[in-house]
Amino acid sequence: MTQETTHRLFAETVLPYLDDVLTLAKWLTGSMSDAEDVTQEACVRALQALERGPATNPRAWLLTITRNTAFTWLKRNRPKSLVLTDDPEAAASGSDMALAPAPDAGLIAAADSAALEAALASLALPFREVLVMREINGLSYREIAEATDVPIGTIMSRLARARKLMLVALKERIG
Amino acid sequence: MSDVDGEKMLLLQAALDGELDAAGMLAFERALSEDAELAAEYGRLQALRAVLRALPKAVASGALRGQIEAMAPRRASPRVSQWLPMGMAACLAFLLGGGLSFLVLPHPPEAPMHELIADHTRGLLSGQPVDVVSSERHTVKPWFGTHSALSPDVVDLASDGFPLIGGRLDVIGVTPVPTLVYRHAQHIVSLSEVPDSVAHFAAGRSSIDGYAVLIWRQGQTSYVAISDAMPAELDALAAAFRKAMAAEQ
Repeated sequence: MTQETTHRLFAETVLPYLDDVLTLAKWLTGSMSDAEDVTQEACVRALQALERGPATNPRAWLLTITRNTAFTWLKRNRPKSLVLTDDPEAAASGSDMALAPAPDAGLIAAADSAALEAALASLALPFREVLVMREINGLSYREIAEATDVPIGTIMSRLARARKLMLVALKERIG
Repeated sequence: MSDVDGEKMLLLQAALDGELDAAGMLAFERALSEDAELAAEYGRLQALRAVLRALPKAVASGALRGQIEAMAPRRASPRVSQWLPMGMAACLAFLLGGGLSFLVLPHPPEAPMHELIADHTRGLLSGQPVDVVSSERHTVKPWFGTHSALSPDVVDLASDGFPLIGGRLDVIGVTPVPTLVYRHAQHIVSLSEVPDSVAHFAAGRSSIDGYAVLIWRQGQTSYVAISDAMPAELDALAAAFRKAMAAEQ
């Protein structure tokens, strides 16, 4: 692969998705300046990967790199933010959640973005991650499963749980 | 929300996410029409999805975008699409100007040496000759790794009278070039490591715009030292740098 080809690939497969990368990084790290660091590092990794050949599904591929870079970065720089549990589904206790009343659809639709962002930010990382990848980055179940290296069935149940948690968190904020 | 059981809940997610086939979707719609609780939950989740999707995306700042674009500069001749607006601007200027009173031509690229001199000068004038301040080479080297695609050799030469004060990214054309910044008495020395793929320099001493410049080569890399110190002091820096590099290997 010539340097010229790599540079062309980089311009075509990385630059158009820069905002997607930054958005995912922002939701994973919780801060814009951390997200910029992660974005730079992810792009360096992407460039190195492109030297070995083109990517078939550039957006999902790049977001996978971003996700992995963000976790490495958090581990190195913000270890306290990474309280990883083997079983996040079990960690989020289900019983109290089932009893929580959900806001109705009209209230949800009227929620302002500050309340939404605060609610989303309050979710534990595994839930926040699938919800952001699905709703904000628009990845499919299969793409999320590949990016997170988690079985597709687990992604489905995690997404279901994430949405419930989101409704509860939103309820607390919009009443 | 509490009445929608696990299996229906997953079905509901799949329906919402467009991951059901046609038959599955029909069955789901039938279930919706028979189950008010399920329909209410579906409505809530649809509303949630709509507001989440409407959240503003992060937008990369011009500075960030510029840094990332600079990781992989194009060196091929610019494409037609990039020249076209320029050509159109030239035509428009011609029409508006009512004649060939001036020509709109792209600026010729600056000579690489002048770009390095300009970056050195800018560092001195701004009082901020470095982007990363550190005398610790284990801090400076990784910084370059995350801010450019190049990883320069970094050695501290404090014992030779040239303490490392940090690093900076200079730019040749649109390509970032790692530059180490050393202090020597009251002088600042910029030492750029330029791969031949970016620009080729011939080894030698010169004086440009009042600065002493010393270039030496190693493998496919030119080392360009720029300072307002005396030329002999750059020789001392070069000797110390090469000695330290040899000790590394």
